[in-house]
Amino acid sequence: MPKSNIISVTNSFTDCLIDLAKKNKKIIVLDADLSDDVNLNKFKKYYSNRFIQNGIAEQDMVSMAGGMALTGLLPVVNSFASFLTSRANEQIYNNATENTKIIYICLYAGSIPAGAGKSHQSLRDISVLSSIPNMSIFHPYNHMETKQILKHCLSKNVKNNCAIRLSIGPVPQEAPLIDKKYKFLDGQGFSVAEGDDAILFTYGQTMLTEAYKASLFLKKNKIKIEVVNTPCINNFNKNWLKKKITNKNSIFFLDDHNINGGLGDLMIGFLAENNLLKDKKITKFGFRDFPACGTTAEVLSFHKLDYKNISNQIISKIKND
Amino acid sequence: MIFKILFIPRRETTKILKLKLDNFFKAKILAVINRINTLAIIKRAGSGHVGTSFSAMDIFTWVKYFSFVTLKKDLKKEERNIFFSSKGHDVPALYSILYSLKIISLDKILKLRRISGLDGHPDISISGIEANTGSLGMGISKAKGIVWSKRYLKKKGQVIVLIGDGEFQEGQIFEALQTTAHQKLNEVIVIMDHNKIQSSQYVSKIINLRDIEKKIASFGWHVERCNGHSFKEINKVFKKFIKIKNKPKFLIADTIKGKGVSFMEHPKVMKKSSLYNWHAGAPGDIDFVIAQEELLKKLNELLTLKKLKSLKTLDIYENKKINFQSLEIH
Repeated sequence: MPKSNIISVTNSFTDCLIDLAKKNKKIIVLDADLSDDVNLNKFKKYYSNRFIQNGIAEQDMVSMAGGMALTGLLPVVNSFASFLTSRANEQIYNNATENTKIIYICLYAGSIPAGAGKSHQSLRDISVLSSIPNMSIFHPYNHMETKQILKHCLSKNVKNNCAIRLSIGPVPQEAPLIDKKYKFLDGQGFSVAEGDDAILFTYGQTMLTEAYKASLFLKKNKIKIEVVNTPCINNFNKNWLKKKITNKNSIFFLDDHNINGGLGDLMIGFLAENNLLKDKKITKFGFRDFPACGTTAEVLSFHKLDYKNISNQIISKIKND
Repeated sequence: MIFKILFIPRRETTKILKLKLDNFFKAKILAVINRINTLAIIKRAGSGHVGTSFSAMDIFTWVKYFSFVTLKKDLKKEERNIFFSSKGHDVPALYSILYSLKIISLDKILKLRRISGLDGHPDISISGIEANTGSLGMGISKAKGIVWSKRYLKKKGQVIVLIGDGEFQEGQIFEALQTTAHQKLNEVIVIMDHNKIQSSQYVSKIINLRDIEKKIASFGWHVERCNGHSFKEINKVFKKFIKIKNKPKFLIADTIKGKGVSFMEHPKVMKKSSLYNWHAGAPGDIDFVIAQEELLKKLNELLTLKKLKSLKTLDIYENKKINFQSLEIH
């Protein structure tokens, strides 16, 4: 495994939060007893008076954060994405209507690790958050991007609420490396593979790795696709996107989410609204059913979202052109 | 049918506020004035919740004018008292009081439930509103968030939240009862407007709350119960609450839905009909006129007792042109 990808996004998240909390006393962490999975106990060690253990009471936790935000504090709310964003969705919505700012840590976002099964895998959170007008959704790919996105979300310039999807578990084998000079820009992303035959947009360590592996596999079959890491799930820079898709006839989307209401749908909507979809062939990959339980390889393969299945589907789509 | 929607302008209420009367009697007059104005703005809007506004009115009156006052000049101060209603649909009552305290303008209050006016449920974009509520069950959690912040930021001021009894069926309430006590956020004060009727039926019939005093106390709260229409009793409980530091505080205020208008009050209403008719929606024209006459009569009786002149009213029927400027001066 390449050295610089060893740090998990969750560890990187907490370390960065501890760092930023040093300068910003308004940052307060609330947790629904899932701090272990994001190493937030480390935050508690540094700032015991700024860490609120609220127990397994997500709705109460979110509204409590709402009350705190009304007084000008900056709450960072932690639970698993599946519980936080759906069980407490109305509370998140209500807080949002107050135009305050709250950071929601959507832990265990997406399908992996798939051993816990569909009660825990989060494949609906983007769809239930994206209709809240002042909500920005992010899914950082690796430890570097996690830090930059967290810093961005906590900065004074950002007025929106932020939902940060975090993958848990080890960094996948063969995950593509990113340039150390990479600088996160809101509404944009970066390519981990280049090619003119098609373009694929995805996010997060699981799917970006599968997409990257697909690009390598396709290259052997003389098909070159561009793979774009898209950490901003519901906010797109029009010019950046326009440049990305110029000269591309086929656009693919790979969601670590249900096929409905994920990045694919949101970006297709944006492209259509901006009249950028003309003559483009569109294909969405994502979960069409409740996620299966199993190992990562088993589950990705079952849902035809592993790199081989993706590659074969891309080949057949391009050949049918 | 030709009729007037009578509204008591602020300058009249200000006169009452300045009188040298004992506070309990003054509160009685203020509560009737605000019932008249609440009924008027709901009628003018064509919708709104009269029953719950009237059951909570005496609590609102005592909190906002006497116990936990927050004046216009204090609204931006971090040390202010923060009061809000979690059930939220009683907001016409609060708007009436905020208008009398110069926090909401006449122009705004006449635009209840209209664009660029006052929302049907509380919204913090409106002066004097402290939290967005109306979707039930969130208030105690928000209050404890505010209390936590006040402590952290070392800011004084009380935090009081009003909830409904039907609202007590929400699961989030029970999350909050547990966490508030466990986290020792003892400054939280909750008042339940226990009017016994949710929407149009008895709470006991929908889902019986059973022994609420015992329930809440078992979560680690200090519980008091009183007549929610007795200012003396409410005042006594509030004074006690301020001294209690070792537990969060919960007042069950026994109230009457529709209080102030005889034919809107339960249990009288429920004896005639199996459903409570005055939960939502403006009263029809005839009912409105009768209700308003009853409230005006009550007001004049109170004023006569203290040998005071009757108050001037203003007809706010939608089609009438109102000279706002002349009214805002006082």
